[in-house]
Amino acid sequence: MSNDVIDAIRYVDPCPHEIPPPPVEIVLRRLREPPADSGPITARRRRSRLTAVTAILSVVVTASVAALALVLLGHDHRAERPAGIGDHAATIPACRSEVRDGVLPVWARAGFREARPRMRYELGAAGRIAAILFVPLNSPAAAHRNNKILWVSHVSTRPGSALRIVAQRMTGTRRDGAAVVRAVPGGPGPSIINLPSPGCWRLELRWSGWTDRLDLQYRRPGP
Amino acid sequence: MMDAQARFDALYREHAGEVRRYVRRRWDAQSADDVVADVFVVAWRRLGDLPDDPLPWLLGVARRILANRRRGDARDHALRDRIRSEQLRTGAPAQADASSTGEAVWIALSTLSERDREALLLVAWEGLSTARAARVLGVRANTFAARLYRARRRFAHALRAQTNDLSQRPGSTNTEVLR
Repeated sequence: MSNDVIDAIRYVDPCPHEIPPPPVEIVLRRLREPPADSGPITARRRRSRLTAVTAILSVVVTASVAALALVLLGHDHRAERPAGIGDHAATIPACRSEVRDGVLPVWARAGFREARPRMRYELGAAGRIAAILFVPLNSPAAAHRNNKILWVSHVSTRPGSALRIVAQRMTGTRRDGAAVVRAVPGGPGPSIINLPSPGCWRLELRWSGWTDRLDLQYRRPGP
Repeated sequence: MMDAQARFDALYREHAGEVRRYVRRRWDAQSADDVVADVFVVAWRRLGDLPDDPLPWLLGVARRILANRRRGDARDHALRDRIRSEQLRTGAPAQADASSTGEAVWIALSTLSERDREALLLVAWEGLSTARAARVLGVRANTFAARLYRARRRFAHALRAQTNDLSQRPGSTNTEVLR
C-alpha cells in the first residue's frame, strides 16, 4: 500500500511545526498540588515530593541565572530561540473568555430541573470546575441584575472549604492593574462575583486543595 | 553519570516540546500544558524506570492521561468535532479545494475506531517508526504493523467514499486525494 494514506493524514496535521516546551514551572506547580486520591501523605512520600520540588526549583534557578547572564552579556536572541524553562511570556495564553451556550456537562447538572439543561457556562482550563452564568457579566454590576455565577466542582470537595478567587484583569497576556480577591464561603456554589472594572479577567480558583483557572469577560453595562 | 536532577532537566528539554505537540494535536490548546505537566510528574516519579528511548514511553503516558480525562470529562469531543471546528473553520488549507479535501480526511478519520486512528496518527503526525509507535501503545511491533495495515485499508476506503461524496456536491472543485 502506498504512502498516500499517511500523506493525506499529514495534510491535516493540526500542529505541523515544532513548538517549544512549556515552562518547567507547570510541573513544579503540579508537584505542589494534592494528589487525586487525597489519601494521607506518608513521611516517605512527603520527602520524595520535597526532593522533587527542590530539584526542579534548582533547575529553574539555574536556567534563570543563565538567561540573565546572556542578557547582561548582550546575547539576546529572544526572537530566534525557542522558549526554554522558565520562559513565562512565551506560554502565557492571552486572556479570552470562552463561554459556551449549550447543554451542561453531566456532572454540572445537579439542581437543574431539566434533564439536559442549556445554559451559558465556562469550564476551567483543567476541567475541574464550571462557572454557570445566569446573566451577562457587567462591571459595574447592572442596577437590577447581579453578576450571579454558579460554581460547580468536578472534583471532590471538602465541606466548609471556601472557594477563593484571585482575579486579575488582563490585556492580552499582560496584567492590567492590581489583582482582587473574592471568596465564596462554603465552596463552589451560587455566588455573586462583582469586579471593579470591565475587561477580560483571569480568575485563579482554589478550593478544597484544588486549583483551576478561567477567563471571564465583564462588559460595561449598556444604557 | 548524571544525577536525577540533570537527567530530568535533559529529558524535559529534549522531549517536552514533542509531548506538548502530541497533546495539542488531540486536546484543546488551553489545557494541553496541564496534561504535559501530568506526564512529566509521572516521569519524575519513574525516572529510574525510563527506557533508553524515552519518547514513546512519554507519549504512552500522555495517551493514558488523555484517555482518563476523556472518560471523566464532559469536554470529550470526538476528534473530528473538536479539530474540525478548531482547524478547518479557520481555513488552514489555503487552496479553494483544500478545505473539502481536509474535511474528507477528517470525516474519514472519524469513522475509524480509536485504536485504528491512533495507529495512523502516531505514524503520520508523530512520524514514529512502527517499532516506536508500538511502544507508545504497549504492543509488539508485529501486532502494531498488522493494526496499521488494517487501519490504512479502512481509512483509504472511508476517504474514497468521502471524496466521492464531496465531488458530487454542486460547485465542488475537489480533486481525488488518494489514488
